[in-house]
Amino acid sequence: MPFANLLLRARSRKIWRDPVRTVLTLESFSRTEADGGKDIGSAAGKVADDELRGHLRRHTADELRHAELFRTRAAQLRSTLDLPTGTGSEAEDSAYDLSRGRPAAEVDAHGFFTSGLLDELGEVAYVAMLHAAEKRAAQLFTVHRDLTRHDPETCAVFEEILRDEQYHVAYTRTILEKWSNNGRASEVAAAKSGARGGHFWSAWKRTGIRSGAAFSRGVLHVLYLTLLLPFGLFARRGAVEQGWADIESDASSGNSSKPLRSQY
Amino acid sequence: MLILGISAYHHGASAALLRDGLPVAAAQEQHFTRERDDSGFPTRAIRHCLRAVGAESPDLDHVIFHERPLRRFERTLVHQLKAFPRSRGSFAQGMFHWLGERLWVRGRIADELGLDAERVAFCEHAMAHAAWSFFSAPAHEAALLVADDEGEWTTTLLASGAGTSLRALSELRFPHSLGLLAASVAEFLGFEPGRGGERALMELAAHGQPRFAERFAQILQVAEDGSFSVDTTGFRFSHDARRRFGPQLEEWFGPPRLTNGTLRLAGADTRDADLAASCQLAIEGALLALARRLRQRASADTLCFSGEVARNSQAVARLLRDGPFESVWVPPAPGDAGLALGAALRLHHELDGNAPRNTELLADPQLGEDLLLSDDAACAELPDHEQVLDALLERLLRGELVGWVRGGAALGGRSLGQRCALMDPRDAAAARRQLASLKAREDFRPFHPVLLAEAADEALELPVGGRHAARFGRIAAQATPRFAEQAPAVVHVDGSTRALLVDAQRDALMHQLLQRFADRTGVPALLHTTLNGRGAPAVRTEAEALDLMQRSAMTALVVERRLHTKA
Repeated sequence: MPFANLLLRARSRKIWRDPVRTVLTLESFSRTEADGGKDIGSAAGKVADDELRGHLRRHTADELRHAELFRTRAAQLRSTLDLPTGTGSEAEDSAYDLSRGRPAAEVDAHGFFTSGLLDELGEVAYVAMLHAAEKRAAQLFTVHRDLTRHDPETCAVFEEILRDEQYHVAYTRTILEKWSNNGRASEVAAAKSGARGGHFWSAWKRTGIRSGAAFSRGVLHVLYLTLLLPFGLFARRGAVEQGWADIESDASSGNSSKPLRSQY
Repeated sequence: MLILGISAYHHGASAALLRDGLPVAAAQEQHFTRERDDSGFPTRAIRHCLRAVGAESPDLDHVIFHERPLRRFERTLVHQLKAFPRSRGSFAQGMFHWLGERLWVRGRIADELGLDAERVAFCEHAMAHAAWSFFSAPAHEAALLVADDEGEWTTTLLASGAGTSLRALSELRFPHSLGLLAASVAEFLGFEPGRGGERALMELAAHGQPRFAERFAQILQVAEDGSFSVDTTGFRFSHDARRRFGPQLEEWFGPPRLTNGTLRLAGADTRDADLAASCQLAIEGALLALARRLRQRASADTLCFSGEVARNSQAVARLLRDGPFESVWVPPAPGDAGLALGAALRLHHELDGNAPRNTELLADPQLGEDLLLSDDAACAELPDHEQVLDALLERLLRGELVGWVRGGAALGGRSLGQRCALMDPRDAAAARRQLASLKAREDFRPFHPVLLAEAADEALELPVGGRHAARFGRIAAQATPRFAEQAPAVVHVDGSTRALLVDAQRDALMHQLLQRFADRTGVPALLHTTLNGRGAPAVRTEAEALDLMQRSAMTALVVERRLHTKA
């Protein structure tokens, strides 16, 4: 199992065990699939290859159907859900993590490209990127299916979508092979390599940044509980300032006529 | 003299360039990264500003940053410590960001631009807001009110301006902040603060009754001297930007609403709308007290209002209606998007106290990048602007949704008529149905009109003192009964509307389109909304606009003089 999938599995496990986050995640998947469907539909109107156009149109219908499947399942779960009556403790904050407008950030969804990318890259690179994305989506949804086995209906949604993903991977591969056999082998190879390379490079960068950030935060956490403890206890005793501060008579104000070269 | 202003690490990172005191280019980073309210370092926006005037970084005489980073860091650290040990989670997060980048901003700017670090100056956040509102105002003397969320220590500033000089009078300090109060309540109701959440809160308020007004009077206490204080027991914003409300708020008002959860605004349970209405009322009350205090200290008749809270168009209307000033000016981009310009203007007038002002040029916010056209777009090239207007009018009269994109991007990320979708405002149901395919926004949120400036009196109950602010759609007004009947699609549930007044001087083409539409229908307005994808600012390229047409019910798109129609 790829390392990235292990990480995904670890991050996703908690989410699929939490009913509120499950609903929000399914809703975010629904939006992503709907957007992806519209984009692919838009791209279908622009491609020159008739066979590809036919596939893209079916792909569009699949994505929109997936959106509906996710939406319906989310609605079913939402109707049975007791929304948290959270007490606001730190431990319960995670239940609201997805309520800050970045619902897709926590669990990787099936990414989509705007059809403008087709104009920018050309058909070959576009299909190569689509192929790489669909392969990745199939892996992601396999993980999500495995983690939702405790919820057979949600699991069934992923099962059904996975079947379509296999078709998407297959048709994009077939089209690339066809172009490759028609004298465009080097163009196809470059596009596939670009799509793959981009994916691996992004994953590598992501892993590096995440591990570096986690380490730094760990160090800062230790500093907070040791070095800053006495200062923290002292600062708690101070009252919070209230009321007007008159700037002309208060030289401590940053808005007084301090030199503009000063950072303080 | 070339001065570059930079704002970063706050929503709406931007850059602006002044040549001899006049803005020649300004752009937000979000325009290039396509991430709404991008708060990173505005490398691309800086590059655009320099390229727009054919300059290179060594040509810059001065560079100014929109805040004093060490003061801001001091405030952050003090409040993290005051919240010990509850701030243990947010401390690591916040310090990681500060130690990793923000504290070293002088070096970062110098490195990016290849300049000596000594040429980088710093301006107080609140004074940058004040400078932008005053130096863009149609008045040479004004009282200045900045009501913001957060900066260094100052959250609220009273100041005065005369000619080319600014004078700070008094300030209220963190954590007493109207902007953070609104952001926290918006977050509690499932909206995203800093990315339109506060605006959604204001719009939701129209659906409710302020039945929690008493509680909010305790949360936001207004003193007799016009100052206010926020009871922070219900909030965590003083030390945690990840979640601003605290457990006490849940005890007072019940559980928070999750994003996409059912909004409680009608029927037996109107908790969410009532909460929004109570918050709005409390904020308006505090602003009125501030304005009265300011009037005592500054003798001018014009109020220049800026900061994040100045984006609240209903509060602006209340300030004009019930406040002590004859006119209220709110600049285009009154929030953080205007900070780079404000900082640059402050430095310019600090360096040269005798420099003249040119408010007409300053108030033109179309200083951003021109639309990027596609070379191979299949479309009909219209011979002249007459044909453009005919093409648009014909479709609008048929009740179709059309897009119109031209010229430079406006500062603030919203359309001021140049990157928009338009519709006939007479049929509210049809408009909402068609716009649902373009805009993923909640049903309770209203759409707004572009309106012939000459028709403002017959359409709006808007005092003359609000006209300038209405030219940039910054003030709400009650629609007259006749206009509400004529154009129901652009009138909110409380009978208000936030019109963008269009005169022939600022936008001749839009003015002509409105005039022709009025001649044919008797309605001097069109429904107008920014043409943008979900979570993105107004479109940057022709291809992006085309994409939106393909994905929505839009039937036609006019890009400069190129007409695209949907097959």
